[in-house]
Amino acid sequence: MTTRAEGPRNVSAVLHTLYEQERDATVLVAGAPGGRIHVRQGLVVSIETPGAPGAESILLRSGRVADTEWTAVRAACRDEEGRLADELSARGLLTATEFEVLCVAAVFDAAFVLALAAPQGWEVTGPVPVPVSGPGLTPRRIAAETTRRLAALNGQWMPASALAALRVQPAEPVPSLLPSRYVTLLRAANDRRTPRDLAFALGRGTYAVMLDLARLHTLGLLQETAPVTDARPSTAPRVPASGTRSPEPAPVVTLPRRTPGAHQLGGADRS
Amino acid sequence: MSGTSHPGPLVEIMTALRERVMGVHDLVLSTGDGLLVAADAATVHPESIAALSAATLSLGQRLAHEAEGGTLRDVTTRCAGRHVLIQAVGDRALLTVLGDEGLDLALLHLHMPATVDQLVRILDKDAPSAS
Repeated sequence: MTTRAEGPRNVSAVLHTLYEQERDATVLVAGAPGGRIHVRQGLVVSIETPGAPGAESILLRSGRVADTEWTAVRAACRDEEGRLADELSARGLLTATEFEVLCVAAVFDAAFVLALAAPQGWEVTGPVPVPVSGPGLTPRRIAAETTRRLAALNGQWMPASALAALRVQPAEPVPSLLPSRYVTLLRAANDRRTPRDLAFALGRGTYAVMLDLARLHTLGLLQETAPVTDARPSTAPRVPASGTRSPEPAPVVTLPRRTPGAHQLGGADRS
Repeated sequence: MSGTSHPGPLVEIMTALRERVMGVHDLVLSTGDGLLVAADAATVHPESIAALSAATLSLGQRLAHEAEGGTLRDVTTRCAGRHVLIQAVGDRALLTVLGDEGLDLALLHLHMPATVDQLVRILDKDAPSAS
């Protein structure tokens, strides 16, 4: 893995070098979160990271495209990169522009998340096949957007890197007159989910969720609580307690037998 | 039931794993026969997960044996929007990790051995008890 002393001073510089060389490559970024940046002809077409939902995740989680439809589209495209937009459009599921917007938003979101923590290292490898990719973006455009987002968030509540790790829950009661986007977010916040977890749960971008959380905090609608636990059972093998005996079997009781002809249907007074 | 103890330390270990690995949202620790031991969960029914996990791990072990594989490492289920990973914890317990679609599986696999070791150290202190 490349270190700062050996090569470019940061991932942005690596991407800029790849852009100038118009290379096809994948940059493996180690860190928390790490990720894979897919570069084609020097342009960034996709970023995969556990820190932000990708275009596929957003499409499916939001319900914009059904699972079965997406599987069929993927099967039709086989491994050909860049065919997804045409296939989605041909099937009337998503216009090419909608898909492009989605992919660009996912790349910006992932780049923003990767910028929240300094990477532990990076490595440039040959191009790794990428299942979902959009139009290529220049490193300069990505850097500019990332800077804008960091500045927008840092001016609110707390530094973006701290907010990214924060787990919140709604303050009670939740006002009834709130935009549905905020209500959905407050319902999903359960003091265990970070903004990234909420983004995956709701099929939204991590940055958008962080921005909404900052606004909700300004409105005084967020709080924190402590978890509560109970007693647990032992995992040791369960054996019969010494001195205890199984209950005695029930005594055998002979059931009364009927004698043929002795029983009169409906009683004696009918005869 | 006899032989109960406070699950606090177990929950703390599970919570630490959840907070360390991106994408983990629920953890359930159960006995080998599917009884819930402790859970750090909010979005699932822990008792059901415990029972199903024990059955699934048993099937996984059997499948690994039939496929002429060695010791079972874990059973991973991938579904739309979810990852479920079941891992044996010593000889008599198992840990179920539920994560979202973006679960950092590599990091989870990296941290899992230490987590399992911590859990085993506590569970090994459980003395055989009367049922």
